[in-house]
Amino acid sequence: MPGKSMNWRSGALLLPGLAFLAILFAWPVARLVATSFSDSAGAFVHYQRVFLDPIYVRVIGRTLLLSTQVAVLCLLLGYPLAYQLNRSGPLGKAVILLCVLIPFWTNLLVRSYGWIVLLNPQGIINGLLREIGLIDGAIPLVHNTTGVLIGMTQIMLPYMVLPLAAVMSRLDPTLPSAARSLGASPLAAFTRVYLPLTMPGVLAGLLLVFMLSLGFFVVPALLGGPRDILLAQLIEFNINSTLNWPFAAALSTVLLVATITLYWIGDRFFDLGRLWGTR
Amino acid sequence: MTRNPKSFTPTRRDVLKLGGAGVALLAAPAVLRAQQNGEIVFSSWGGSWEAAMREAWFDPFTEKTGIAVRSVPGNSYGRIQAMVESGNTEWDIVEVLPDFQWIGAEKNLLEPIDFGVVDKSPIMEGQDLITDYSVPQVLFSRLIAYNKDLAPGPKTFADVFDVEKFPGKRAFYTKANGAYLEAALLADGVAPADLYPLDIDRALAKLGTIRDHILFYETNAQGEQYLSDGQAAIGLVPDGRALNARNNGAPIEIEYGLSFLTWSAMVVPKGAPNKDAAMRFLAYALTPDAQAAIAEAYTYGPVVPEAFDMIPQERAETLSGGPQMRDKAVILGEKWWGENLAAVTDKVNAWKLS
Amino acid sequence: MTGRLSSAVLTAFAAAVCVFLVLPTLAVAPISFTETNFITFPPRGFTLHWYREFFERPEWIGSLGTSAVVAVLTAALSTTLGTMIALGLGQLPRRTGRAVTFFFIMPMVVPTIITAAALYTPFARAGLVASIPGLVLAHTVLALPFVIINVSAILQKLDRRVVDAARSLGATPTTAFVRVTLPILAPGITAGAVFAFITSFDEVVVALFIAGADATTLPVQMWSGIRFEISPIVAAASCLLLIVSCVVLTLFWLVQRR
Repeated sequence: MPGKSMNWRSGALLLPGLAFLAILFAWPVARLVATSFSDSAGAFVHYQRVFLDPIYVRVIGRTLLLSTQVAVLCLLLGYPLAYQLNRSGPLGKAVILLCVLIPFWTNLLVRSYGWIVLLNPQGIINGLLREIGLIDGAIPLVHNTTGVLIGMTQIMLPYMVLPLAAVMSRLDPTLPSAARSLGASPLAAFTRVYLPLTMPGVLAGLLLVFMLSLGFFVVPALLGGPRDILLAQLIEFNINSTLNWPFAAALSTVLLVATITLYWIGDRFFDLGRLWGTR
Repeated sequence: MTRNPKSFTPTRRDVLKLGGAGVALLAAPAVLRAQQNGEIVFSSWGGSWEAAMREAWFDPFTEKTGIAVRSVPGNSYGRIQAMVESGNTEWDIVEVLPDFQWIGAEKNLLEPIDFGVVDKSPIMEGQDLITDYSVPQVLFSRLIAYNKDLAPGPKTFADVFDVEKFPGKRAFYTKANGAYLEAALLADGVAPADLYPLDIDRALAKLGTIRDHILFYETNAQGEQYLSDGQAAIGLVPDGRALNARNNGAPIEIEYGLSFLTWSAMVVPKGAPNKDAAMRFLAYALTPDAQAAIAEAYTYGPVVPEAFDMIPQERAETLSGGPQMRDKAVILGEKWWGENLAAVTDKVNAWKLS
Repeated sequence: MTGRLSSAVLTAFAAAVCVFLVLPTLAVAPISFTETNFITFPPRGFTLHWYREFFERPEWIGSLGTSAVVAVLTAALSTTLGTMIALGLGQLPRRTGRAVTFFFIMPMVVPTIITAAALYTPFARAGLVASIPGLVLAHTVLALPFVIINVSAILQKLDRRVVDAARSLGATPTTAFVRVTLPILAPGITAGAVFAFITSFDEVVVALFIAGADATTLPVQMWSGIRFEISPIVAAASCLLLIVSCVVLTLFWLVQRR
């Protein structure tokens, strides 16, 4: 019985969104992707270049690796923060929310400059560490992959914290203590009860951060070293410096396929689909 | 036909017209435009450079011809192409880096310049400053500047690549056409006349000798920052950036003997709505007066040598193309770069990643 | 005992993460008061000159207005559309749901520069370039996935029996939705709206393509010119945005406390 009316209802709910994205996104992007096959020298010349030239394979690999690292770092920092956000009073909530939202309000270039001021060898943090006597020289914190990770984690953290906090706010706050009163150790109460219940938020956050990181290029370019070349930088270069749209489209298509594959794996083996409420 | 706003005395008809002001207010920009002899849209890099152009070029041009100049941000090559290919060009003039003179022409994105309107005779001679589709705008250079608190002054490009005698980081522009490949070849003993076509492998091998001492900067402002705050001891930076840092009190010295001369260009995208007015603007911007005015307003050199006669000696000696770098500066092979940027970038990226 | 200790550890950790989040902003905030006309650290002198500049120059204050309008409209449109999509997805059979869902989060996966480039031609033909409606439509494309993900994460936890109970007690579907489903979804919808607003407010890549003389957003204004200098006015603009968000969150706090 529910099947038919539900399909009708979900169809009515989905239709405006489907039409909107089909016209304003899918069709324009599909046309652009089609250009990646449109070279007179052969449909796959641009793909040959992507896969035969070791630079591109390496850049794709680095991009995937870095995005994964950022997503994991965000989870490690974001989970406790979301928990704290959820159990704080109104003032504490407002303060944490403010801190979470501040990165958004600071212009990207200014923020990156802020990190350089803090992290460079003559910067505040190295100065502080020398002052305390922890180090002698300077720890290289910026213009390398460390700098990229620090900068990107800070920018992406809100995308982890907000979905997590939204999910946690729906949970019964007495749950962990209830589990404890039944004799579970604090660790067991967390890993057996609380963590599984917040899993949708964890996955949503990981997915958001990972996918957004894939397309980033300003921060890696400003805070990274010469080796921190990411795919989006090359796409931007081909569109804005050499006007090689077909090749840029081919690089984007590869990025798309890589993401779809990863998403499929996540869905298949980690039940990512549950996240969307599809039963 | 335009009325001088200062001598405006209201008549009955004017007062009646004011009655419709509520509606007219919404259309005010259109009304203002209609009172003038048309308008051109100039797409620029923006910021203080745009402000300088407004003072030195746009307002005087409007005063002289009645043609208003509206400037808009976002002059990226990608947008020019998207605009032209959608058949809906909104811009009349775009300022670009010189490689676009050839890239834009090859992709069929540019209107030919009407040299019946634009007089090219006073423009400085040199490789490819003028093409059928572009005129030069101003001169600038990439040159060696150093933080005198950190390093003794390098006198040759070989010194720049000698980290024993001249310790500290080197700041280079991250794009392959940031002139550091040319600098590496000159340091390796190649004569300036034999630079192009660049021997990329040789240049990268030379760069490899100071690999860990290179700091690549992403924006020119960042390059200036590195030199000013001492993160880099020596930098290959635009002359305007180095001058700016020095004027702002940073301990920076400029070595005009180690400089690469280049320029920015102005082009008219295909299908520009006000092509004729755009040509008149280009003609105006290339007069000695206008060139001297822009060189006074911003730290770029005039592309018309005659303009130097109108600029105070002291100022002229700080500008690209001025007496301090004459016969010393190497002109960058922009045409070669227009054809080879993609391939060389691949090689440089491979080197950076290795 | 251990409970109190771990609670203190957690609070300390959260405080440290908060410091990490605001650190770069705190480091640059003083720069907006510098008397020099370039960015330097530590700043020299103290002046409110850059703030005056921001309010007196039409290109800055005007672009702030444009950004605010575009971001509010984007948040409204994408929250409405995105919540409907999330609700619809929740009712699809699993297999179809997967495919449709992935379609909806694609705008997040495709590099923004590609979306920007792809949108340009249709927008130019429809006369949407350099217009506020054009910016709103483009930003809504980018913002939709955030709303869908945030609402879906909550929806997944929604106990359908609560809705069914309301229905069996005589509530119409509309009443059940407004009185039961919507309040439960509220945190997800709010988070989605915040993301949508911010996505639009902070977005520069698409705006650089779509914006024009009559519709320039604040990030585009900050971006243009930064190739020439990182002027302290950009730091001042950042601090102003910061003050605005402090005010908004203080209001939020006051409302919550009541």
